[in-house]
Amino acid sequence: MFILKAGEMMTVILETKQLTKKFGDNLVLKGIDSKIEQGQVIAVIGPSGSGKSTYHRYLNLLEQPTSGSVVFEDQTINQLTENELDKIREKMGMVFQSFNLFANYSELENVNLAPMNVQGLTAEAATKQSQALLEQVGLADKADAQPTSLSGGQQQRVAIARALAMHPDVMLFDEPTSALDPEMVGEVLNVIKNLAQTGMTMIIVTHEMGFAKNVADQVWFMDEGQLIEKGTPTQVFDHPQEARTQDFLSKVLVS
Amino acid sequence: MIGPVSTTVQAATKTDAQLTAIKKRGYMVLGVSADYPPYEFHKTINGEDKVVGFDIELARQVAKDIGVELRIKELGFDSLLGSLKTGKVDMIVSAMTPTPERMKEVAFSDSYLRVAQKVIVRKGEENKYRSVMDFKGQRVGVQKQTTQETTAKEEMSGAKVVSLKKVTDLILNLQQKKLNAVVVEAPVADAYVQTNQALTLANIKFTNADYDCAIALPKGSPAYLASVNRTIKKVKANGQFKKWRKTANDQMFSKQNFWQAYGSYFIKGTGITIILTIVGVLFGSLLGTLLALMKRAKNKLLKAIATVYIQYFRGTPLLVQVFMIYFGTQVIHLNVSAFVSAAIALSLNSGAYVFEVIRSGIQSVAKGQTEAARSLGLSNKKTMRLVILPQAIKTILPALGNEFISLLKESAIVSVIGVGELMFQTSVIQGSSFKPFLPLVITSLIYFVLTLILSLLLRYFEKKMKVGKANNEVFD
Repeated sequence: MFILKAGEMMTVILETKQLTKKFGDNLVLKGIDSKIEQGQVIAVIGPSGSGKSTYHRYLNLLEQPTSGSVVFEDQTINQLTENELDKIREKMGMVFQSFNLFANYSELENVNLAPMNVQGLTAEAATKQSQALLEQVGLADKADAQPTSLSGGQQQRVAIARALAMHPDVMLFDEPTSALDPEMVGEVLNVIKNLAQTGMTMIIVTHEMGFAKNVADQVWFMDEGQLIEKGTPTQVFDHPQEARTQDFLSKVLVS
Repeated sequence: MIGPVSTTVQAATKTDAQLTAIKKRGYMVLGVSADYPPYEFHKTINGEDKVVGFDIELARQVAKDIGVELRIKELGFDSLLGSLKTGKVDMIVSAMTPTPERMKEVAFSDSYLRVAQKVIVRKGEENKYRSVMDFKGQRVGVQKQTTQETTAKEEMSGAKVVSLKKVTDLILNLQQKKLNAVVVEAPVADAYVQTNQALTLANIKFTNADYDCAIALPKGSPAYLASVNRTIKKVKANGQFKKWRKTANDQMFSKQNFWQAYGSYFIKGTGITIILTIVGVLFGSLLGTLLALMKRAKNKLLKAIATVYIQYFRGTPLLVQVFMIYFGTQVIHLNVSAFVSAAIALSLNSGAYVFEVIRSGIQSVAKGQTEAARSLGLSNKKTMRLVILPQAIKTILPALGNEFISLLKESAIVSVIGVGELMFQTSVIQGSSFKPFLPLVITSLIYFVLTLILSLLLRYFEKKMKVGKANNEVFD
């Protein structure tokens, strides 16, 4: 259970404190402090190599940071054992740039795998749930298809259904449309947009500025391993305060 | 050392206990170690495996003269004397030389053959060598640890004596001018020269190198001994013994269809090679999997053991490993047969390579697959079992097939410890056919066909799995 602090309208669900990552001498993340509140949709933008994807990957500790901590639902999770961490990861759905559908399973099996093998659902129960999710992402008719026979957009929608099957408290999207052909970007963004409307907490690393503007509650601009500017889409896109934000936006929005 | 031959003429006793017993039985048992052509050796005649050679013919005549049937009992040379003393055989005719040590144990007949050492050279060069002194600076081949080796070293002063294991290798080297002369015992030398037009004998006399062959009998049987000696005297006088020698030489190099004569050897050897390879790959796969698990374990000791193991078995020659297992088990007083030693060595060696196959198979699965599985809350183990291994197996299986092929070829090495696989049989055939090269050609073809079949099978399976492989590429 969360403890509500006085004066806070919302509960902080995920927080990073001085999150730092060094690759050799290269400081990729320079002590990031961030807070994500329940129900928030956050779009993380920034130039390539700004550290936004790296930051994102530490939220469920797929890799260990050099220093700093990650707090999820009031628990500092980077002190947990691997087994305890597995429990935490169940609650954080993750969608990857390159989809990462399990190549050895069909679409339905991809969605079924974790509910059956982690939560212990029967094949019947899992399938029932998976079919509902596939319907939600518009792919109910392709349940038996192998990942390779699907388009990139379809694969990514299956990946979203797969993550949702664990009933996560937070969804992490790492550039979900970057590997897609342009004509497929829309179908994936629509699914994410619909998800946002259900009140799901989401952190989306993205290059889709229009999407960030329309869907996000908060837009964070990152550069050189630092969180430079935060604000509502209007604040960040229309009235950026920092020079680097202005510079970045002028480059991406002009073209 | 060679001792004097018993030439004492036995008193003409009518009979003795031994002879009476033989006659009463109606047959006598010959003890022989049938691996020494042209004295005694195996030969397939009309599809039947038989022991032939002039020793055998002589024994048959001895039995005939006594008036009984001959039965042949094959034994290792080392167990011949013991068998005679314990009455399991009635006589030994097996190219045996009456040494003083042996004469303490058993009685010997008169010599039926005085064996000299002869020098084989290439035809046309025989006039270059007229005495033992003419070999100064020449390369002279001898069989390792034989009388010939001693003789060559002692009497051919200045010669470069090269000791090899097998007579066939000596002959091959002589033909290819890597040796200038080969010293072997007369019956063997005669046999080679008789059938090989390119070789001839040099007229060389050694001073102290002749020895005798005689028939061994139980002690204290004067009538029996006398009967044997009469037979020997008779067959030497009437030229029969010479005929037998000629026949034996001919049989050694018979015009008989080579495949008919030695086909069964090749088949037996191929069978053992295949069995060894299957055992090696099977246990190697289990071991390789175990090593892969150990390498991934959190326990540092397990990890270290696996690392050292893999390094050792990949970093030392298989030949050395085979010897280590074979003699190592002896050192710790384990009586392990050559076959089992070979199977163990191949399995241990293969394990290290299979580990590498498994490791690279796992690495071939895109990292994103692991990340996706872990992000869903699947544990490390479940990720491995449900996601990684089913995909890795598509890379592992073809590579395992390649390991199978290379193990099949490398198993030839275990012939050094006398495992009867294909390579070993090949050298047996080389020895008894006196053809050094042809068996090698056939063997190489057998290996080639085996590996070809395996490769084709592999390609077939790889094609079937290609769909699965394409899957991975999407995620790379």
